[in-house]
Amino acid sequence: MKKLFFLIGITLFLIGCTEQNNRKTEVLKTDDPEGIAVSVEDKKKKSFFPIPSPEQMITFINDNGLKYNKELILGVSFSDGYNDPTHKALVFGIYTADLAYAAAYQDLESSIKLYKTVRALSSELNIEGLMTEEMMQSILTNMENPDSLALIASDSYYRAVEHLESNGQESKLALMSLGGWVESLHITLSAMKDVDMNSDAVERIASQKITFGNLYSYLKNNEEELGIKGELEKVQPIRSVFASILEGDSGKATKSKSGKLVFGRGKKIQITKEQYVALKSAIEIYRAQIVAQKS
Amino acid sequence: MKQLIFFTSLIFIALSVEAQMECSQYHKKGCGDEEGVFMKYDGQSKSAIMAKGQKSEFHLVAYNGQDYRVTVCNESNLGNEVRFKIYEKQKVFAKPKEEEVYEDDGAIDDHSEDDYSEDDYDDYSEEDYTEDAYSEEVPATAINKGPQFKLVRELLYDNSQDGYNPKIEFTAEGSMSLIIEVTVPGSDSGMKLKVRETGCVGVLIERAASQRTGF
Repeated sequence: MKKLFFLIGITLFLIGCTEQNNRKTEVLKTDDPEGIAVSVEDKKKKSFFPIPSPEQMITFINDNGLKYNKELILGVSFSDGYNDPTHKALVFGIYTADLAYAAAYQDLESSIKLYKTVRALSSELNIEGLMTEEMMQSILTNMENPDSLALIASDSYYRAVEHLESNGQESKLALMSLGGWVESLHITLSAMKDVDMNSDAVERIASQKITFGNLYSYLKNNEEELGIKGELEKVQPIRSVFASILEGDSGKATKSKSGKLVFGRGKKIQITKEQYVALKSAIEIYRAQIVAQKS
Repeated sequence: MKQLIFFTSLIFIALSVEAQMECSQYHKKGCGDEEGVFMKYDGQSKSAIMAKGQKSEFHLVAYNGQDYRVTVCNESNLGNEVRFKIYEKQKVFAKPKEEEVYEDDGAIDDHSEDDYSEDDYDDYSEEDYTEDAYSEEVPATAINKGPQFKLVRELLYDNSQDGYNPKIEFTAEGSMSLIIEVTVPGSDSGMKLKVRETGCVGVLIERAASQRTGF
């Protein structure tokens, strides 16, 4: 009995020590040969970029009454045959956006198919344990509750982001984000009919200049890995369109009469009809390139 | 019996150490509370391990027509005066070189009367912000003549002017690229720090569609 307690104790102690060492590594990847101390200077000014979530865009278009179009989703049969990790990660991103779309619009049949596809791809990308059988069951048991379906879809996406970030797979994450972002734009731009250039939806499209800017910076930070340099070249037409979109100035933070803090009063990112058309074309061309690149 | 107590303690210590290591989810556990208006979790939330004296930047996109709540939380060993500032990245006219003179268009200083703590946040950062994804595009049209632009960041909020409030709510009346700069108090001299002088810092972002008023 004593031996049992002793073994349990030692085992847990070692787990603790191992985790502590992991943390040291995460803290720095230190220059300190002993791995005991960290340099503040080395960690100064570290930047964390937001990973665009397709769910944000999809929720927005749903809230703004854009109709669902199943045809916009990439067929699940396209998930086969991507052997190189670059395109696998990009296609994984595309399907996560499609899953968010189908789930937000309560298309249960497509959601389940897409969930299975995303799950299979995540396994191939070694994002293990990301989408469990429990989550699959959760989808089935929440069929009557569409909000839960969307919640599970977004939770899966955030799990993927966290898994890749915490395992130092930023390059894979960057590609997945790019795929997801392109797909959410493809869905939004294609779903918009009779475009009103003064609508909230168009303004949200123009705002993607900021989102894409952050994503581009994140890709640049990881350009030496996983074929990202090649993708950066391919997205140049998208970047050029966004670069041509003018941003208005905003004033300082203000307080409204109700005491609410307000940022960005009067700020406008203005997209013209020509820029809108050019952006749509650039997005479609790049998406077609991703989908076509089976190896 | 003593041994049982000893090993039980050991188990609790090991589990608590393990729990501390789970930093990536810290904003979900450490920042949330039941107070305030319900807002939806925003995937731009992030956690990181930070050391005393360290400064890190968390980039955030705020979309027009949304209310946001930003909560910065940290493990207790980092103290209770973790500072955060919110900047907006803006593209402005670059300062003219030598004899070239551009008149200030006044856009930056043109405040409305109900400015938020105007005196406290009136400093305009001239610090160049180099991470501009579109920077190479600008010189093509402005290389020889015409106004040149550069990215700067303008301070919108500083929680040290607000009693180190860990939480701020704001309305975005325009889509903006924001930077949340988090500074953990402590030495910033480059000295070596022990691992125990590091801890989790979480930045929780929540959002909700702004309520439009009027008829």
